Amino acid sequence: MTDFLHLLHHELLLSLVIVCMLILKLADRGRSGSSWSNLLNVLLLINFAGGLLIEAEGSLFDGMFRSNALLHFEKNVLSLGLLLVGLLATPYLRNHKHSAEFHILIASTLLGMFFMLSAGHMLLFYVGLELATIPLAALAAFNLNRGESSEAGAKLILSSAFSSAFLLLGISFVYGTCGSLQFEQIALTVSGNPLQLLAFTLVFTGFAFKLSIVPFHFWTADVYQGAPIPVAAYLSVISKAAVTLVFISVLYSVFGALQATWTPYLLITALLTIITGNLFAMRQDNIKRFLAFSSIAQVGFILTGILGANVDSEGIVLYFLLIYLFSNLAAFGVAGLISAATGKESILDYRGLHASNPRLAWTLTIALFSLAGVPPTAGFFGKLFLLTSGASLGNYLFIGIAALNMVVSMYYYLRIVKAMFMETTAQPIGKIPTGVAPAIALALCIAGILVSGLSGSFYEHIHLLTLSY
Amino acid sequence: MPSLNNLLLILLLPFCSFLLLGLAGRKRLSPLAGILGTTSLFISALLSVHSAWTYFSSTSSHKPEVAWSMNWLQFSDSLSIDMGVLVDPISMMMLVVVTVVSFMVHLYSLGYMKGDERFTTYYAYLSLFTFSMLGLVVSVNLFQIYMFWELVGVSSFLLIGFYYDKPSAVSASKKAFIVTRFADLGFLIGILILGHGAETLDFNTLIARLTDPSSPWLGALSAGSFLGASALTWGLLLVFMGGAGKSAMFPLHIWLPDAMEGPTPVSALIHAATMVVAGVYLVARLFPVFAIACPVALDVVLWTGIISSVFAALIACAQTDIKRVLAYSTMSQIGYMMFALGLSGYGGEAGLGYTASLFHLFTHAFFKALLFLGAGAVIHMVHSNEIKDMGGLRKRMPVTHLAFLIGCLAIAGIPPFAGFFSKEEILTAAYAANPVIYWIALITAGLTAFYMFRLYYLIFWSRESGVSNAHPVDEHHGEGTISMKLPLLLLSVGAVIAGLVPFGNYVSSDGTPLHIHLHIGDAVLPVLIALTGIGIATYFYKTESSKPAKLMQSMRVFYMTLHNKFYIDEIYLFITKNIVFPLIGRPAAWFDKFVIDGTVIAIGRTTDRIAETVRVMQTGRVQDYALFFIASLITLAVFAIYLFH
Amino acid sequence: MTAIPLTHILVLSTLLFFIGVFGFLTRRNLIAMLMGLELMLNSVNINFIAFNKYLYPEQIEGLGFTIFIVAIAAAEAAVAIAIIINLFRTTHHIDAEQADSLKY
Repeated sequence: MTDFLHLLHHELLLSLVIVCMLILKLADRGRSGSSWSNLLNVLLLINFAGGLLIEAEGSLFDGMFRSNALLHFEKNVLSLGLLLVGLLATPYLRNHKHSAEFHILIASTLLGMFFMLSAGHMLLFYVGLELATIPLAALAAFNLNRGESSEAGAKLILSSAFSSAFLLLGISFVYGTCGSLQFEQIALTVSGNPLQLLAFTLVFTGFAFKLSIVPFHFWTADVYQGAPIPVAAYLSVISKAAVTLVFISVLYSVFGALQATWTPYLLITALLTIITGNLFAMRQDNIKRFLAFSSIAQVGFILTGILGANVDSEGIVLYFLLIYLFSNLAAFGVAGLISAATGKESILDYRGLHASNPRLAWTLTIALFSLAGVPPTAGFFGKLFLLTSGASLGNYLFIGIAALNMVVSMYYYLRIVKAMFMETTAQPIGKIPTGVAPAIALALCIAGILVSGLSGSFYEHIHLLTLSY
Repeated sequence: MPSLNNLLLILLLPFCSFLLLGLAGRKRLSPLAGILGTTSLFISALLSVHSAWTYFSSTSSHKPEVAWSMNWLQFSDSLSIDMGVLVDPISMMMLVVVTVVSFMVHLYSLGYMKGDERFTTYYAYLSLFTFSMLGLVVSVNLFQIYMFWELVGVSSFLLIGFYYDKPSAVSASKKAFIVTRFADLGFLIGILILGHGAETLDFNTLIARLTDPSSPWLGALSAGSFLGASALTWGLLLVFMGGAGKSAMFPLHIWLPDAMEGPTPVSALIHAATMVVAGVYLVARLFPVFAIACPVALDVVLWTGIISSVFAALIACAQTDIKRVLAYSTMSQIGYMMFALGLSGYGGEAGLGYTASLFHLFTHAFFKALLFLGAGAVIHMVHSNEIKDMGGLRKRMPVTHLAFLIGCLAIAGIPPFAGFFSKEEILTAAYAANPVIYWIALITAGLTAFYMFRLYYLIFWSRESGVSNAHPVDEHHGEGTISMKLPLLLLSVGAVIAGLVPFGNYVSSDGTPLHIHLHIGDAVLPVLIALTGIGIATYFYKTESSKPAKLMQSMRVFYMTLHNKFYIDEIYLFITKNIVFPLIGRPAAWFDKFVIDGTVIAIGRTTDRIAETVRVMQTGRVQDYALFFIASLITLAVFAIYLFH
Repeated sequence: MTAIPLTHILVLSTLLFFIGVFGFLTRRNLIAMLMGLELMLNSVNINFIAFNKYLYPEQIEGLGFTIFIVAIAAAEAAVAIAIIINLFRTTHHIDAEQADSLKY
């Protein structure tokens, strides 16, 4: 019984938080949006802190659910991300009627991700994946009075259901050819016959869709643009990080035998993803759309790291995800604050931001520099390690193109910095009140970017953790 | 061995001043900002001179030593990244150069930037730049140098774009950043290749491993071949690409002339003495690897250097913007340093080029900073960069005039000024190595003397009446405050005596003292050529028109002879003005502007157009997306089942 | 009992799947697209059951999976319809081709 409690403690705690939120919501209908936010953020903090307490290793339900120190660490990272998103969302939720529901839905998606991460069986994986996706569609449509938001929600749920139908078809073929849905069993029986290759390809596209890998990425920018900014931030960071981690374990341990197939897949799609993401990002004026395409390009770099498939790769990707979480949340956080206060979401509106809001401008600059990979921000090390991991296969040409794209991306990240610091406009954004919660979140993000870049111990910890599993 | 505390203090003082001014001081410290920054740099400069003194006077053989280092990132078991302080002759020399020039610029800016509303920010950026440059200089490994390299890039971006309400300054800073970033990309890949092959990033270990002919690392790196060159060659060339980008070597120099949009003291700091010589420093740092393991790469350095040198000198003759002349002249002089490195060998007498190159770096820092600061004083006075707005300023600005003259004499290589000694060493090394290079270098030296004195005469002589009406002289300014004059005087002293330092005793390719014997005989030809250049410039530019006219009326006989001579001059003038300039100088400038710059712009525009075209794919209809999804899925499946099996 | 061979069933499910895909791609009404999706999901269910029954009769993994798919598909449909209704409330249409205000 204690074993059960220890192994499942993340999930149990989060479920408890969700149930608490539901009961509180039922019991107290009169609360204002901001007081809900504060209350629920405290719950999320408890959730994060509680997650840190216990570490246990083992499996439950006949191997359907697995847990170990690495998974605990990954879940802690995701919990931290959720807490940051919750803090950043407070200005947005201040005047929203349904701020409690926002938190309930977003916490449920995290629960889905936890199950997905710990899955040792296709069933749990699938259930987790859907639990992580369906509430997100509802969240994307959370601006109830705006057509764009509903459109984003509809696009997300339709295309994600479409992709999961293909994923399920793939899983059914895996079942037909392997006779089991247990990950370990599949790994033992996968041989690479054509039907299995087809099945794998279908599963691969399912992941590719969720990770917005080109050419399965079309939904991404539309959904980010239509969705409220906190949701877009969540989608681009937490959701992506969770799926990436599952993707790694599925590729490395379940379909490890098919490495000859997925290496060229990753190579081609990584290249396409980086280049497309960069090309599209260049021409965007809407900050959310811009961040959407830039995060697509980042996924391309993550794929480069996964491609390496050596002992260090998983640690490198996890490290990058951590940095990416801080950097992208900081960028989205600033964009969210500005949008919540003024409704402005165009890059052109950011002109002269430095003059009126120097702190926000600097925060966004550091975040963008980290995303662009300028030393000494952490993003640089993340990218460097990813490229090194990818280079271990010896595809120097590919790495060269990827590195060249780092320079291209420099160009458009710098565009925003230039707008903020060096341009002026007739109607600049006025002084924006930051509020306590978002300020804490942004400070944490910036600290994360700088500390994980300047101190080696972060990477060492992750490196050692992944080596032991 | 200088004390470690001093070394750390040299680095930390500018950093603290940056933190203080940048984070806390925008409003509160405003009146004190300049004093604070200047004082911290003054202490830094004193400490580095002191450290260099103790270092050079203590022992006779100077091997690189790591004075301090800390483990920073454990990348994998075999590869870790450290931060540290490397003490060796060139790092000590660079510490002195950077802190002294930076101190001068700090001091000078007190007057030059006075009244600017972002005075504090300016000093914060200046301190940040100095800190990053110092960090670059003392780097113990490739990685640390790269980090500071980028930091230097960022801070120079901030400084070039300091006048951000000027669109040209903004685009110049962006251009500088992007072009050097592009070059740094090569640097980064080069580091990856070298680090991967040698399994270390540490300079000392790397050099030891890659210069020992029997080492397995060297064998592994030189075995493979990609596009006809070994991994080692590629690695070194890519690293050099980074250096060429920062040092504005052809064809990556396009950012340098534009970067003159920054405040003039900044140009003196960044584009004369410190950042632009980082490339030279980098090659010097890895010199044993270049020289022993990979002479091919060194040949590339040689030819890049010589081409940049002569190319830039030609362009400089046709420029009318005072700062652009100086920018091209900087490029030309750095080309000199590069090719001197390129033709040098390792150890003993063969290493003369190495010593000469760094000697030239050392002297150049003084006289070029002097020239830039002098130009700054002139610009401050007439409020224009254009030569046509100047003239006859020698009486109004006696101190600047004197300083500028000294700078010009030094750069032209007239004894006993500093430039003479270092240039002479380079020419001696070139003569020993390759006569073709020697002659090209001589011609470049002549051109240098010519265009520098052309500039000198056009600013300070030429028109007697002074300045044009469009830009009235600001009489209140006078020559500027004492804080502006003092650096000019101090640097003038430097430009005179820096050449007397027995440089070979301290800096040589293998760490043992190199006794340099210069023969008077060898120096005659270069000095004559330089004097010829000066003579031609004097003849054409010293007076504009009034003098010949007076002479003509008072002395008819003299006039006839003069007239006859004028005939020869006419021919000469015809040759230079109508043949040499239009056929060589202008085309070179044109090539620079349209072909090299144009290529960069065209690449940008093409990317932009592709981006515009592919955007249409994102139709906004969920069914189209689903169709793309299926099409891609089928493609992948076909690939998987039929092609990869 | 085994009069119908497995291939027949697989052909049926594949046909059904692609009819669903076709419906999803061609119907302009968002609700009708949702119906296409249901068809796709159910054809997968047939796959699972057939594999389970014919190849691995000693297990119930496939059957179990089917039940979960059905349940999740219901949840998905509920959320999708709620969103589509809200879309209708704000824009007064549920046409897939008109819902393209977010693009490029």
